[in-house]
Amino acid sequence: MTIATARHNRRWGTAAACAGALLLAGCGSSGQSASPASSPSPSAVSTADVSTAAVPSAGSSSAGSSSVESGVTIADTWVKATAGTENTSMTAAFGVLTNSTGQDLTIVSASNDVTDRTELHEMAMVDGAMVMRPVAGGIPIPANGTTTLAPGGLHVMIMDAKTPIAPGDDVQVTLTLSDGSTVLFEATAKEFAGANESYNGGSSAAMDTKTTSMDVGSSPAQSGCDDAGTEVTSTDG
Amino acid sequence: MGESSDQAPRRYSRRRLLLTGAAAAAGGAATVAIGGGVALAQGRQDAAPPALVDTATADTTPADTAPADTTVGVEGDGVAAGTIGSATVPFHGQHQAGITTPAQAFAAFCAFDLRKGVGAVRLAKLLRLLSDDIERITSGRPALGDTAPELAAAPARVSVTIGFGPALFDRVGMPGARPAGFADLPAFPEIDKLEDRYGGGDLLLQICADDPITVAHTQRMLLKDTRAFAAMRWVQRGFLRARGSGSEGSTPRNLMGQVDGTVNPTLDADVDRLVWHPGPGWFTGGTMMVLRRIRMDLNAWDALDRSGMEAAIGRRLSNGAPLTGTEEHDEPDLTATDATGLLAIADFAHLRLARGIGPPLQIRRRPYNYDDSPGSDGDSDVGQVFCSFQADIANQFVPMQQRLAAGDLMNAWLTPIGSAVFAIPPGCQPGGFIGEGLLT
Amino acid sequence: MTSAPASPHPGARRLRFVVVSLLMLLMTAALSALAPAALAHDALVSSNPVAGSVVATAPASIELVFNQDIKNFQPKIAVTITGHDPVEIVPTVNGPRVTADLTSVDLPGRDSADPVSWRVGYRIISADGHPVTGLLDFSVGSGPAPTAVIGTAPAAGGSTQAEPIPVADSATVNAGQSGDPTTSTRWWWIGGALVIAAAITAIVIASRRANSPADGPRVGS
Repeated sequence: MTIATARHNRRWGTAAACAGALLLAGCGSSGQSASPASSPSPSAVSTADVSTAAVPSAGSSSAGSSSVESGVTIADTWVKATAGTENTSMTAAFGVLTNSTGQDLTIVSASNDVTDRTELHEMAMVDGAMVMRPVAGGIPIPANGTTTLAPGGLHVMIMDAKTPIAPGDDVQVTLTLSDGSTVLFEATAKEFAGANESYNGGSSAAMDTKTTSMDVGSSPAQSGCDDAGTEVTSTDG
Repeated sequence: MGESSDQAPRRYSRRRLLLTGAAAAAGGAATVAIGGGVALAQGRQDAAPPALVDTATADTTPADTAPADTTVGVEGDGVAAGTIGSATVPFHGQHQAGITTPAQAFAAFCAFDLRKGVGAVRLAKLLRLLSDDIERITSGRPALGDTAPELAAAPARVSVTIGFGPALFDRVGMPGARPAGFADLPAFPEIDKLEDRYGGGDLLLQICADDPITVAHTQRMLLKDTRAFAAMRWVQRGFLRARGSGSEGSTPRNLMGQVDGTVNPTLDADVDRLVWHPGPGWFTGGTMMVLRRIRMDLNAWDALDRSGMEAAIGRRLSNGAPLTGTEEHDEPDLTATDATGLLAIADFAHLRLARGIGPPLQIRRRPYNYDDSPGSDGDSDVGQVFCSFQADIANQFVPMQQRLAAGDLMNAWLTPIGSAVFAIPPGCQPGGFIGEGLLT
Repeated sequence: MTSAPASPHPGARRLRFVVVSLLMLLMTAALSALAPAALAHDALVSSNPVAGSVVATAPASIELVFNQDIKNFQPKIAVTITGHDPVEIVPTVNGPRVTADLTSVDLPGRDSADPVSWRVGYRIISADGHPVTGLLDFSVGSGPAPTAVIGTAPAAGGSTQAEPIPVADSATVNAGQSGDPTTSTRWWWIGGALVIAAAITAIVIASRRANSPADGPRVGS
């Protein structure tokens, strides 16, 4: 069922999956459709089967040398564009992960094709302020469940970017899971005023080593159509 | 038709290839039921049937770890199935939605100029972003990165139609791809008082929905994704009667009070002939939009008595019947005389001139009203955002407009103050994007 | 429990208010009924041949004179000779004068030996852009003056029966017709309003007498 998306779940893949289902207007995100009540049997997805799924062309696999396919899929992926913002060195990737296996899994590391440094972050309250920081022990994805990577919450941090990421650009991200499998996805950059959380570097144990602001809030000074300035609020990580 | 699709680099074919597989594999995962269709689609719809499908509002995901969930359905703000808010118009199809779709109650027409340095490659990126946004929004899901996803919970038949201005083809280095017959309108010096603030544009987004908040939120999301690529040129908002206020399927009235839009092609064959570009080339299945902002001088119009108004229109105000008939859709008798011995539908009547002689070359009219803030004199600033779709502007719209400019008595009360034309590309299938035929 | 004494007491005041309002309303209605006549657009003031007249021979031209200048925008005249189809003619416009030269027009029935009725219909655009439509009749040849009944050629497809003369501007119905029905109606309204006003005044006077201050404070007000 979700084999193809497991290997290469892209934004367009999601759209295709949705619309392919009889043009269902109410097509939910895969996060919805793969909720425990309706997800396919975990046994339907085995890593052995997956290797035969859609093989990406050579160009698309540059981000990761995945060896084991995952029972985890990701949908609704995007990355915050940095072009025209104050801090173009870092950004974050988001999406909805679905674990269609019967075992709890964890994202233990990530990489991307734009920079050499990728971290897994969470938002946490530190000294009364919300900061983002590396998440200790990785990002969990419960068995037959979903985990959402979103501004103000868990996310894949892309750091030390040498060049700005413009809206519409694609970033390829590879997630490595606790079972050794990988999830490769492509995230298209979108302008986003939020996600301006200050970055609390270092490990979660060693607090306050360094604080920088991932301030990408000011949109390119254009048109002034969006006055959102939305602040993402969050209460937990 | 010389336009071919091989003038732009084929950069995205790999993507489509992959996605086809993804669609096939993942299609079965969808668990959303189809609600009862709302029975107000009228006339015909084609491969992309804007037949209205109720969105059974999807359940939200189980509680997950991220507090700010910007990508999935929103709990508590879903709209009940079967309501005006829950109805959707499919995005994918042979043609774009918002053309033969029965007119939604509210509209925003947004025009942009491409920024310097935005060529075919960047334009394709923009159109991919927009197509993804539109696919989500029209199905009642928030666009990616929507910080107010609750506002996307009522699709209310929202449709977004993308169009290209004549200059866009030059700007992206593809002048040969401009469809034949597609160009800025000629001047109509007898009537035009065009203002730059309502004219032109490289790129158009026509956003229509039965709920004004849906229009506003959709516009906000799309502008956000567009502004890095293109600068806002103008926005024109329009409205019709709210859904439920009038009888479904009836011809709307404009703010002068006239039944406006009686003659509109509805039969499949007529629409195929009159609206959709026959091809060949990338524009096959596309259409051309004429958008004219027409100010109404209601003060002067008010000075006219009812029979004078009817003589000017050629139709009765009460029900839109031609002056030679009794019902709205009665065929006008253009040769009939009245007791004076003169033509019952005068030579200057709008109806006669709009219709013309010879084989009818109708257009698909989809006008909206506007009502802006009155000036300090207290006079209403009202009119019509005239919008029509036709396969060929040069053959269908221009001759009609020339007749009207020369002889329509209504010109005494109507002043075109804005004018723009857009080539509306064909629709796209799942995995594709609007304009892909031009840019891939 | 009596309320503070009011002078005049509230009931009477209210009644007076109602009456005054009603009277003003009626006056307004009466005036506005007259107003359109005052604002009339171009109206036919004379013609040659004169409406209702009998002329010996078929006229070589038809001239219409209006009370103000006519816009030279698609003026039209139709001549219908009894028993024949109407013939549409584009006249020339010169200020308030509209002239249709008939000499080169093929007019069926023009050479009839018998007395025959002519009907001239016109549709012009007044200086303020309003369409003005009307008609006038006259007779050609010796004989009795024409009646209003002229056999106009039945309109193909038929104009509505309810409006034998769909005149564009009711205030400009031509001089050749007897009595303007719209104007008659107007006078009916004015008359009615006056009658009602008188009746209300009478009632008020009577009621004021009945409720004179001598009655003292009212109970239960």
